[in-house]
Amino acid sequence: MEKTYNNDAAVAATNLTKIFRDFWRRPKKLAVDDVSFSIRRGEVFGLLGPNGSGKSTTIKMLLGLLRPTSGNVSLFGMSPEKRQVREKVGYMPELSHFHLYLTPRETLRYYAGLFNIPARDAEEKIAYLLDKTNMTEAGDRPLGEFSKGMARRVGLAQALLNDPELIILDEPTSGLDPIGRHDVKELIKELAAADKTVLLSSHLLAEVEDVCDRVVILCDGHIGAEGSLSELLEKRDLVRMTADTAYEEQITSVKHDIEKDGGKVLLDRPAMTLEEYFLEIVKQEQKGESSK
Amino acid sequence: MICMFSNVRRYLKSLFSITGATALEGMQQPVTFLLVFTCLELTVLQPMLQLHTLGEGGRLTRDSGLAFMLVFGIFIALFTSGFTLSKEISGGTAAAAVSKPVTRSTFITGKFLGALTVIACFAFCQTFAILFAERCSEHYIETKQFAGYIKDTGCGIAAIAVPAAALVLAAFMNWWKRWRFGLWFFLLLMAAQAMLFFVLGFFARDGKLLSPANYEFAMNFRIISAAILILMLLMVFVSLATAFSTRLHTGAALAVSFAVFFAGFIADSVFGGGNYIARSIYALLPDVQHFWVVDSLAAGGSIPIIYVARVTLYAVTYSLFVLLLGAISFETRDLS
Amino acid sequence: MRRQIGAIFVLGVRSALRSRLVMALFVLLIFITSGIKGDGTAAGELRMQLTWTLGTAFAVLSAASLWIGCSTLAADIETGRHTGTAVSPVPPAFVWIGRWLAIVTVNVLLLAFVMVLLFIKLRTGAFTAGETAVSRLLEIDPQSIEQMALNDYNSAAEQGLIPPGISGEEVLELILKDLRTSYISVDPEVWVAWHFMLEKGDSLQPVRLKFSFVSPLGASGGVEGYCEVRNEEEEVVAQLALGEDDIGSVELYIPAGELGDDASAFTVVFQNTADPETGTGVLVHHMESVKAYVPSGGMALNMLKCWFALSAMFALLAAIGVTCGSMFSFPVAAFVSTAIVCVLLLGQGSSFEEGMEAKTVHGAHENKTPTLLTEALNKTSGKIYSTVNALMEPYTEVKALDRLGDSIAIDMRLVGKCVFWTAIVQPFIFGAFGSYVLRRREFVFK
Repeated sequence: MEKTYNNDAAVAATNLTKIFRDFWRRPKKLAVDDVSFSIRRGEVFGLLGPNGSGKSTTIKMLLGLLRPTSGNVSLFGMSPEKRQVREKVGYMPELSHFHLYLTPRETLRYYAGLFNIPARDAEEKIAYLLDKTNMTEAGDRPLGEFSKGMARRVGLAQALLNDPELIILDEPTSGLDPIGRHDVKELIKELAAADKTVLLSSHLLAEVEDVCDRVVILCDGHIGAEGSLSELLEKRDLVRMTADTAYEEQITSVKHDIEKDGGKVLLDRPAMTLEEYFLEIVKQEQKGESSK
Repeated sequence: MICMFSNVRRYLKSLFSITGATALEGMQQPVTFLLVFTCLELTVLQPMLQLHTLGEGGRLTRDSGLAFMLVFGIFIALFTSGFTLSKEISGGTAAAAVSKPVTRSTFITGKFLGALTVIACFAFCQTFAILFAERCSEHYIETKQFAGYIKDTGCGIAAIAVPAAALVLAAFMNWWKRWRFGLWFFLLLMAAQAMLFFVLGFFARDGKLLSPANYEFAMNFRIISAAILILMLLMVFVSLATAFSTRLHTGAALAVSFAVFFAGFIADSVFGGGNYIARSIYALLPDVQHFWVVDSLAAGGSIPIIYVARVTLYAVTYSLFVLLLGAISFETRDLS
Repeated sequence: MRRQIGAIFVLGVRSALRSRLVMALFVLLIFITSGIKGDGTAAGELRMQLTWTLGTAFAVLSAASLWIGCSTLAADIETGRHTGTAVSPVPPAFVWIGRWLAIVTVNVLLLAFVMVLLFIKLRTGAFTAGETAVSRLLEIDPQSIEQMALNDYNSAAEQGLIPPGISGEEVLELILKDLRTSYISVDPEVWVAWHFMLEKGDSLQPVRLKFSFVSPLGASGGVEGYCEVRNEEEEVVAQLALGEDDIGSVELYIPAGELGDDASAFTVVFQNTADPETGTGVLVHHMESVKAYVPSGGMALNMLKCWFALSAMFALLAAIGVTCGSMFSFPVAAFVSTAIVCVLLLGQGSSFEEGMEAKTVHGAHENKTPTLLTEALNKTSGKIYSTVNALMEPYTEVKALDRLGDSIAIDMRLVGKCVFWTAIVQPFIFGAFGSYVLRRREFVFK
C-alpha cells in the first residue's frame, strides 16, 4: 500500500507502533504504542520521557533504523530511508560509538566521505566543527583516549557535518559537564535561529525547558502530554511580579491589599540556578579572577 | 575458624555464581548450539554414509568422531571462554563484577570453570555420539545363520534422531513455557542420550530384540579413555583462551590461543630434543601429542588407565599454571 | 559513489592495519616464509618453498579473509558503530563493496608480500636458471580421443554389442567419458598412441616427455617395451626402451628442432613387447599417462599468475564472510561461513574422489548394497557436490599452486576465467544478497 506523507512538516509520525518480537514472532515488548506527532520546519521539539518510555525506539524509527510495526513515518514528506532524506538529516546517537583508533579529524573525514562532501569543503567544515565543539586541540588524538564527554562532542560534530536541515539529538548532554551542556544548549539555539529543525530527546527536563518550543512526553510507549511549553507549564490562575529591592515597601503594601481581599501572596528572593552559578564561577576562573 | 569457614563459603558462593552464569551464557549462545548439533549429527551420520570402508568402518567412525570432538570443541571453547571474556572486559561487565566483593582471580577462575562446564557437557554428549556411531558402523559378524559385515542402522537412525528430538523439544518448551532454549537443549540432549544408551542394550547389532538375560551394550567402551584425553586437551585450550583474553582483544586473543595450541602440536618434534632453550620452550608449550592417542585403539588396543591418569594430571597442572598467569595478568590490568 | 565507497574502503584498510590481528598475521607469514627447508635436493627445496610456503600462507590468509570478513560488519552492527553509516545516504551495496574491497586488498597485499619474499629467496638461493625454468604442458589432441571413441563405437556396433533403448550418441558419449577417465591395459604386442598438438614456435623448443604407467608388478617394476616419438611424417625422432628397472615413470627428451621447423603435432607411442604367453598388460591412461612440456616463461610471471588466481579465492571468501557478517552476529557468521567453505571443500574432495574412482580399473569396486537411506543421502550429496564442483571449477581448474610447484606454466586464459568468475561474478552474487540483507535489516543496539 502506498504511504501518504505530510509535506508541510519536517517530521510526521502517524499512529506509530513498535512491537519487539521474540524468536517465534510473538510480541515481547510494546515499545511504542500508537504515537502520533509532527514537527514543523524550524522548530525545536523535545521528546521527553523516563527511561524505557520509547524515546530511542521512536527516534530509530524516524531514522529508518527500525521499522514500525504499524503506522507511518515521514521526514520532509518522504520515507526516512530515501537517500534525499538522509542527506538532510544529522543524527547524534545516545552513545557515541566510533572506531577508537581514529582521531576526531579522521572520523569526520570518514563521515564527510559518506555524505559525498568534496575534500576541500570537508576540511573547512571539519575545522569549523572541531572549533565549535572545542575539540580543535584534541582533533588529532585517537578517540580511544577520550572521555565519554569528549566523544559526545565528536558525535555532535558528525551530526552537523552535512549541514542538516533536521538534527536529531538523542540525549545530547549525557556525559557532558555543565559547560558542555551549556554549549550544546547554545548550539541548539543557534541552529533554531538558523531555521533548522531540531528533535531533542532527553530526560533532563531543565535543558529541554530552556531550548524547546514544543514537547511530547512519552510514558510507557504512548503519549502522556503534547504541546508548547508555555501551554503545558503556564499556571493560568497565578501571576508573578519581580522588582528591585528598592521597591520592597510598595510591594509589601500591594501584598497587604491583596491579603485584605482574602487572596494569597508569596514573596521570596529569586535565586540563581546551580548551573548558572557554576558557569559564572568557571567563567571568572577562566578570566583569572578569584571569586573568593 | 568460623571466620575462615565463612570466608571460604563466601568465596565458593561467588565462584559458583560466576561459573553458573558463564556456563549458562555459554550454553545460551546460538553458536554453541549450532556447533554441538552439527558435531553430533556429523558424527552419527558418518558411518551411515560410508561405502568404501575396507573393513575399517569402526576405526574410521571412531577416529572421525574423536577428531570432530577436538575441532568442534576448540571452537566452542574459543567462543565460550575467549570471545565472551574479551567482550565482558571491553564492554564493562568485568569491571562491574569486580567492583562487587569478588576478587579478580575469582572472576577469572569462575570464567574458566564456566567455560569448562560447557565443554564438559559437550564432551559428554559427543562421547555418547561416538559410542553410538561406532556401534552403528560396519562390523564383521559371525553367527550360525550369518557371516559378514553388518551396519546397525537402527542404532544409527536413533542416534541421528536424538539430537533432533532434543532440538525440537527444547524449541517447543521455549515456545510454550519460555524455557531457555540453549540450556534445555543441552539437558534434554544429555538425558535422551543416556536413555538411548540403556535402551540399545536390549537390541543386538542386527536389530533383533534381546531378552533381559542377554542384555548387552555392544559398544566399544575403550573410546571413553580417548574422549577423556581430548576433554583434557580442550581444558588446556580453555585455560589458554581465558588467560590470553585477560590482556588481548577478542581477535588477537583467539589468534594467539590458536597459535600456541598449534605450536603445541609440533612442540614434540621441533623442540622436544634440542638444547636447553628448545627444552624450555617445549616445557612452556602444551604437548598436544600426549592427548591424541586414538591410534592406540586400533586393532583391539586400549589406552591404559594409568596413562589417562598421568595425562589428566599434566593437563590439570598445565591449566592451573596458565590460569595463574592469566590471573596475575588480570590483576594488573586497568578495567575501564 | 567513488567517495562513498572510498571512505568505507579506507576505514576498512585502516582498521585492518591498526589491528593486532593483521600484525600477528604479518609476523606469522614472515615465519612461514623463512622457516621452510627442503629435502636436500634443489628440485625438492624449490617445490617445498613454492607449494608448502605458499600453500600455508594461502590457507592462513584464506581463513583471515573469511573471518575478518565476518567480524568487520558483524562487530560494527553489534556495537552500534554502524549507526552513523546506516543513517547516512550511502546505499547498503556501497557499504558491502567498501568492506569487501578493504579485506581483499589487505589479504592480497599480504600474499604479494609473501610472494615477493619467496621470489627474493629463490633468486638469491642456489638455484640454476634451469631449475627455476617454467614449462608449458602441451595439450592432447581432443580429436584423436574422439576418433578413438568413434572407432570403438563402430566396432561395438558391428558386433551388435549396443543394447537397444540407448541412442548411439549416448553410447558414444559414454565411451568418450570412459576413454578420458579410465585406465586401459596395454597387453603384450599391443601399442597405444597419444597425439599432441604444438603451438606456433613450439617445434623449435626442446620437448620433455614424462610417461607414467602402472606395471604388472606395481612399484616393484618390470615392464618390457619401448616408448617412441614420431613427427608428423611418422619418422621416429626419439626412442626409449623400457626394462625391469623402470618403475612407474620414465622421461624422454626431444631436442629442439627435431620435430621439424613448422610441426604442429607429434605422436607418442608405447608398445608392450612382453612375451604374449608369459607377459601381462601395462596400465596406461589416455589423458594422464603422457605429459609433454615445452619451456615457457620464467618463475616471476608464473608467480604473478598464481597470485591472481589465489587472490580471486580471497575475493570469494571475503564476499562469503562479509555477507554472513551482515546477517548474523560474529560467532554465528563465522560458523555459517565456515560451513559454506567446508561444503565448497567437500565439493573439491568429491571431484578428487571421482577422479580416483575413474582411475580405478572397472570391476575393482567393493561390492555393497547401499540402504535406502544411504542411497537417498548419497543422491542428495551427489547433487550438492556436482553443483559445488561446477561453481568452483573456474578456480580449481587453474591448479595454481600445483602448477607453480611443478614449474608448469599456469594458463593465463584459465587465470582470466578464474578472476572473472571467482573474483567478480560470484562475489557479486553474494554482494547482491548481502546488500539486500543490509537494506532490510533492523539495527537494534544500545
